[in-house]
Amino acid sequence: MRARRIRSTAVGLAALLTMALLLSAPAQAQTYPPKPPSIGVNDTLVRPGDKVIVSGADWCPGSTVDIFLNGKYVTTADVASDGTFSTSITVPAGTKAGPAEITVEGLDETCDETRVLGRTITVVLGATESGGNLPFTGENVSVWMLVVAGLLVVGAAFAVAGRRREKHLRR
Amino acid sequence: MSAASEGADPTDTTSGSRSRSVPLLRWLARACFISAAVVAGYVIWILWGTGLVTAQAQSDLRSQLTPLLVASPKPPPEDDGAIRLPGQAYAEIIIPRMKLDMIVVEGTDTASLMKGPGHYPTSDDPWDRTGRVAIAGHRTTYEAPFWSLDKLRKGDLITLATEYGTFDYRVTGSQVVPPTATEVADPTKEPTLVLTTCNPRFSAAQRLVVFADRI
Repeated sequence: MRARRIRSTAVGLAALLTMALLLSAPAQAQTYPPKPPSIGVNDTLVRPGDKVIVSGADWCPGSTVDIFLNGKYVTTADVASDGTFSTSITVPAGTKAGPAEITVEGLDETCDETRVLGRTITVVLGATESGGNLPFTGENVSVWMLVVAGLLVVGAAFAVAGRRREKHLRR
Repeated sequence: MSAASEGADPTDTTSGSRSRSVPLLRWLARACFISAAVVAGYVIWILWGTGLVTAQAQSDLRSQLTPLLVASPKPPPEDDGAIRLPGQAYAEIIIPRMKLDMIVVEGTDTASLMKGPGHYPTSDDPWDRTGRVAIAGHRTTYEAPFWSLDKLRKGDLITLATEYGTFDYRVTGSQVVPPTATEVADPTKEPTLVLTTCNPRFSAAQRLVVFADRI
C-alpha cells in the first residue's frame, strides 16, 4: 500500500516535471525581449572605389534604412520581413585616407524608435589614386599656344638681329 | 674685295666674329620657327586631330549599344556591383541645347575619355533608385563633347538612354570649382546627375560642374 503510494507520487511528480519542461521549452525558444538592431560590414580595409557590403539584422521589417559614410548620405536599403538588410556601397573617389565611419539610420525592431549604428572602416590610398581630383578633361592648350607665340617672337628677334648685323657689315 | 671687308677696320678684331654671328642668328631664327611650327602642329592635332580617334570609337560604341536600347528595356540588375570594364559602352547621352548625342563609356581614365564622355565608376547608375550619376567629358580635344556645357541653363533637358531604360533629367544649376572638389560627385538621396568638364576652355585649371535632377 505504502509502496503504491510512493510509486503514484513519483509518477505524479514525473508528470509534473515533464509538463513543466514541455511548457518551459517554447518560452526559452522565444526571442523576448527582441534583440536590438545590429549591423556589419564585409571589409574594414578599403580603397576609394571599392565596394563594401553593409548588412544588418533586427531592424523594423518592411522599413528602409539610410546609410551614410562620414556623415554623408550614400544610399537607402530595404529591410526584409525578417528584419535583415544587405546592400553594397562604393567608397567615393577622393575619400581621404584614414578611419571612416559607416552609419546606418532606421527604425529599430519595435518600429517605434529611430536607431543609429556605426562601424569604423579604414580607407587606404593605393599608388593609382589621383589624390582626389576630378577627372582631367581638358588640355592646357593655352600653355602650348604661349610657347608657339614665344618661339615666333624669339625667332623673329634673331632674324631681325641677323639682318641688322648683316647690313651693318655691308656698310 | 667686298664692300663689307673694304669698310671694315683691319685692326678691328670683332668684325670677324660679327660676320660669323650672322649665320648663327639665322640658324637660331630658323630653329625657333621650325620649333614653333612643330608645337603648333601638335596643338592642331590635340584640338582637332584627336577628334578623329573619338569619332571612330563612337561609331564602334554606338553599334554595340544601339541594339540594347530597345523599346522594352530589361529590368535593372539586382546587384548594383555589376562589373563593367573601362571603355565599354554605358549609355547614350542626349542634350538638345548642346546638340549633343554621344555614347558615354564606363570610366574616367585617360583611355576611356578618349572614346567619349565617361561615367565615374564610383558614382551611381541612372537606373538606381537613389544616388548621383556623374559623367565627365572633354571640354576641348577628343571631339570636345562638353565644349558647350556652359550654355546649359536651368530647366534644360538631359537624357540618358541605357539598356535598363531611358532617364530624363532637368538642369538645376552649375558651378565652377577647383579640381579637388570631388564632393560634387558624392551620392545624393534623390536621383541626380552631375556633368563635369575642364574650365575655362583650353585650360584644366578649374572644373565646370552642371547639376540636374531626374524627372
